[in-house]
Amino acid sequence: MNLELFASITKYPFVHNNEFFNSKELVQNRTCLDKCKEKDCLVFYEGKSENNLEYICSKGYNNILISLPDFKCFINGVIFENNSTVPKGRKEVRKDWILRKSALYGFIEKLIEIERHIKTIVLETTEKNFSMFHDFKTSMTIFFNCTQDIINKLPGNTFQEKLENSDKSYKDLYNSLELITSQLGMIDVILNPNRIEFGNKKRINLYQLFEKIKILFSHLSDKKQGITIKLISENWVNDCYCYDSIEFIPLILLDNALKYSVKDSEIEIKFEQRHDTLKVIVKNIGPLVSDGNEKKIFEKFFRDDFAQTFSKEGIGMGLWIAQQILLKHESELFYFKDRKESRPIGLNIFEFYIKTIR
Amino acid sequence: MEEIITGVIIIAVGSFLNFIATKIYTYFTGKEKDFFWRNKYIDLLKQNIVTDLDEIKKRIRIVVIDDEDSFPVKIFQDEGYSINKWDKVRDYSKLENGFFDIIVLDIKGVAEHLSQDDGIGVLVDLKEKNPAQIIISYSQHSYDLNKVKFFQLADDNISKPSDYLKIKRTIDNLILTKFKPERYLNALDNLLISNNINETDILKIKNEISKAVSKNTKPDLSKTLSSINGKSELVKQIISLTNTILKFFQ
Repeated sequence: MNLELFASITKYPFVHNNEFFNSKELVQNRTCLDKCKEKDCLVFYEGKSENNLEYICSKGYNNILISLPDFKCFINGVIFENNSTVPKGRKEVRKDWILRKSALYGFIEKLIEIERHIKTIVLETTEKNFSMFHDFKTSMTIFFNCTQDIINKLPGNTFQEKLENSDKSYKDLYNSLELITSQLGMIDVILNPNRIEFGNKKRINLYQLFEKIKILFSHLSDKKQGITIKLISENWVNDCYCYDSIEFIPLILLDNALKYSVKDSEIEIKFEQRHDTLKVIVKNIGPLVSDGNEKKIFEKFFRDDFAQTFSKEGIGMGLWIAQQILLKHESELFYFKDRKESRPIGLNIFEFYIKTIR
Repeated sequence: MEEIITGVIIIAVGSFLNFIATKIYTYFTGKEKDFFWRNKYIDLLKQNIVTDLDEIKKRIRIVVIDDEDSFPVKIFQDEGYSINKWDKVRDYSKLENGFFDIIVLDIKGVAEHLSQDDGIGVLVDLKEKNPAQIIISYSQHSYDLNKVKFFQLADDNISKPSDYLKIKRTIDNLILTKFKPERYLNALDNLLISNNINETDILKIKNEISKAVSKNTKPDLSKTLSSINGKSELVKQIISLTNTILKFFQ
């Protein structure tokens, strides 16, 4: 249950998060909105979660709490049949809306029932999705095995050597495997954000990680009308202690930059090592994020209007995942743009700081 | 002549008394001393151990328990890893007694005959019995919110499917960071202390291990363990950890 759904089905006005809402059929009592200075109903229900908890306010109206697992509000300013505290004049104004307590109880029971059905449907849908995802992973396993068997039959002492000495087509094939491994991992994170912290933190070099993803993306960048990717570092980049999920950061930031870069432009990834902190900056030329949306782009499923027009790809999850991963590494991703730029296309900068091992 | 004989007798009696004193000291403290009261056995943590990954990977035993053929076992074998593949948990005692240094464990379809919770049940049980046992969770279900406990309890996780080089990085990293004698010696200490084994017996067990390392033999723990014979589970755990510790030195 959420606010929108509740507002669409309730007959009665209500209060949610200390805000007064009308129902489709009945507006808030003016006494509650304007004349009541105490707003003692808000104080009474603060921190309470007992379903059907009743309260007669200082103006004599009945109030009743609705507490569902994901949603809490109270029906305010109603008059029950047996109410003897509301003055006659006020009763007269709402005479068509005087109700039996049992009717309201019945409504709350229906809400609980709806909530239960929603939960069941969500669970069934999720399980179906999981099951489809599981089947897909099983099929991918066959692809992984075949590819690796082919490469393992090539001349060389180790798998790595066999791969390094092989033709570009074999390398591309294996790169695609690595990319799929990472992308499947990202889907896992969307479904289960706990996945970010699975395993132990280990020494990882972010420069090398970006370099690896750059190679994986070389095919894509070639196809994207002359977009080039450049890695810059003035000095040696130290390792960081990170979870495996950190590998999704270059994947997301480069994928994002490629998606939203204009043709014949350059994506620049700069590393600045200062003492025990590494600053990673990803710059590209593309559609600028609209004013006021700079923080919203890190929200789940959010896509800026112009970004949607520029590229049909994407569902607005990448930057959210990246932010969640960095937050688990005591870091944060920031977006900057040139504020003086009047055109819709300009320089986009994503950057984050992360602690390194000295 | 008499003076010489007296001198020899004094030396012999003195040596005998010194010998008796070292034995009494050992009996009460568990610390074995030689004739000159130096520690008799080596400090295992100060011993040189093999650190070369190529050498270690030949010594350690890995078992992959997976009902599918998704793990690149053959490539690992080609590269010198000692790796076995089980479709399901076949020999539980081998998992319990530390025969395998790394267990790669699938979550589903591998231990329904042993635990209602399948792979999760096995993981929980093995970690309870031997927290030092290195276990990697290997599953297609890392997206599943209900299985979080499984993934958090494991030493590392590999999603299924993953490419060979990624799996190799994970395993090599565990070998280099976790497969160390300190980990198992600490685990042995913790196990003995948490089971209220007295300090003397703890030292005796460690001395037996040191003795076995220095003489390149099997440790004779029968005498020391006879005092805790009532706790067969504990005895099994001690032997399992001892076997793992010895692998680093022999």
